[in-house]
Amino acid sequence: MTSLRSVGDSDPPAVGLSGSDAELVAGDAEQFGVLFDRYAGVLHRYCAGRVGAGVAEDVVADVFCLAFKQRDRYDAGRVNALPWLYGIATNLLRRRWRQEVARYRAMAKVVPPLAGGDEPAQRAVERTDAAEYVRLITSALEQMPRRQRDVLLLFALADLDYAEIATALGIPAGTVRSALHRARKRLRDVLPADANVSASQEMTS
Amino acid sequence: MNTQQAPDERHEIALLRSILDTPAPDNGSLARMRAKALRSMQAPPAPRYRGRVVLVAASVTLVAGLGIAIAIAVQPTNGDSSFALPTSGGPVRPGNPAPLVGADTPAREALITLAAHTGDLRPLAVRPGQFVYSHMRGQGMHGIPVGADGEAQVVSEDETKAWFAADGLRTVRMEMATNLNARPWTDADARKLAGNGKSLPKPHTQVYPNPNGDPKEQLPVSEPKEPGVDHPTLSWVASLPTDPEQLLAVFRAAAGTNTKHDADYLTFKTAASFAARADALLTPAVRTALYQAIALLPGIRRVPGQVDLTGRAGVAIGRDGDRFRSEIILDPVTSRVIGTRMVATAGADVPAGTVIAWSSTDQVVVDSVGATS
Repeated sequence: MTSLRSVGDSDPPAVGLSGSDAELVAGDAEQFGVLFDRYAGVLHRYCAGRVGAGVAEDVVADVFCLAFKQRDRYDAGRVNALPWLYGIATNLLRRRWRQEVARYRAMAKVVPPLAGGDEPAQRAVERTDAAEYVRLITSALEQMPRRQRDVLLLFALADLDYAEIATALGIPAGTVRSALHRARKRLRDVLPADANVSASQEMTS
Repeated sequence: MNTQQAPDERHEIALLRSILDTPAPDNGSLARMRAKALRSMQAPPAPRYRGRVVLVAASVTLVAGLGIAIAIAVQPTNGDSSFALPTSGGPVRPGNPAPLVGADTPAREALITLAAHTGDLRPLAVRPGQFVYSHMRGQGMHGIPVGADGEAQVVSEDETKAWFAADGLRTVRMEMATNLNARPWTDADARKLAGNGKSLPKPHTQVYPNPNGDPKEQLPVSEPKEPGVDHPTLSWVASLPTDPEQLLAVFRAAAGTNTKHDADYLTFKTAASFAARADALLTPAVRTALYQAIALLPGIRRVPGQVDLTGRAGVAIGRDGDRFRSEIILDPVTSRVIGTRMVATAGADVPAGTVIAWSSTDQVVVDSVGATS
């Protein structure tokens, strides 16, 4: 007898109902579709942060295509396939460096809209601060060595920890730690000491 | 995930995130990515040849490609160079085509995914003098009065073959067979029939135009009908809006209202019936808008896994009404419509989940009345 499972917009994806990541990676294209449903959203946000939403669509599709072709390389002992997918995405993004730079430069030219404070003067100050932060940070990202940038953005945008970043990039955790330390120092060095985090809260990319 | 930094040590990270953060991808974006990824997974790997071997390989590919091109150009249209859609099974895909949507893909995501994958599906190409042959099959359940025992439920099938002129509006010939394969729904229904001396309905065929003049065989056909949701034609379908909300408004208007079912259910049922009836007539843009329009309706649900309709596995998306659920069945590989079903839900006279009716329609262009391919 047919039965209906209630599914709606607000329902979470059916994670856990269709096998572990390792089982899905070892499966066929349909099972890779389940893996896509699990992780495409977060991968897109990471890629879109670097190259913009439109290019990110192509990158994410390529990530799953490449992952499918390389699925025999996946370590079945890894419970979570996400670091592996982030690693593939990061490698693919290296081919999109020109588009990544173009995005950073375009962002630096745009004065971000701000909700800001109540007073017009305060709003103007925050708006100026925000524009300056965008320019400083995007410029720093552009000039940063590739590995430092990858580690930094996997930490900040993908929210991976040291071990996961190490897995994603295939480098030792100690290297991740030192690369992240240097990358963050670069950012701190270009930002004013009193950089106002709240001024950036309403920035849109 | 990372927890190595105290909040007051993260201001540059917070700034970085706020600058680069983007909204989560919407369903349309996810559907495009999914379709592209799955298409790529299905593509055969590119040959890896070098030097002179590359030239040989290229020549073979060219010849093979020409063969495929010729086959596509000739087979569906009997010489017409325009591409016409084969109406059973969908377009041929290389390799082992994988479903575009998974077994647990929710209704809206499934619809949007399939809507993003309609580019290969072209409407029928009809030349002057040709006809649209439409083959409709269905099954229904109806009650036969059996005196004090009330009604005995009988299941039977029907089949309609129709040839339409112009772009599918004017009926040239129609044959409708009803009460095919009639059988009692349950053993209790069989006992009711036997106990009251009732027999199962016999197969009955009606035709239009009727060559014998027997009124019993006369199939009433009123024509010409105005094209519309119930009588789609190629040109009418092509004129439909490709904005999902505007298209949904067309179905809402056609569905009307009644006191038994809510308006969303009626709209879903109307859209699903139209989709099945007009499947071979849909332009890619209208098909995309149609699936997206259905996805806008509140309360739609996905039947997990796949269902079978006339031997074809499909994705069933339904909307509950009063005691019954209307479903549209979509091909998860080709994005085409396979048919519709009516399924009992809680409160119906039959067990919930019982398929009480289904229908499917295949359409193809033919050169003469009576031809079916």
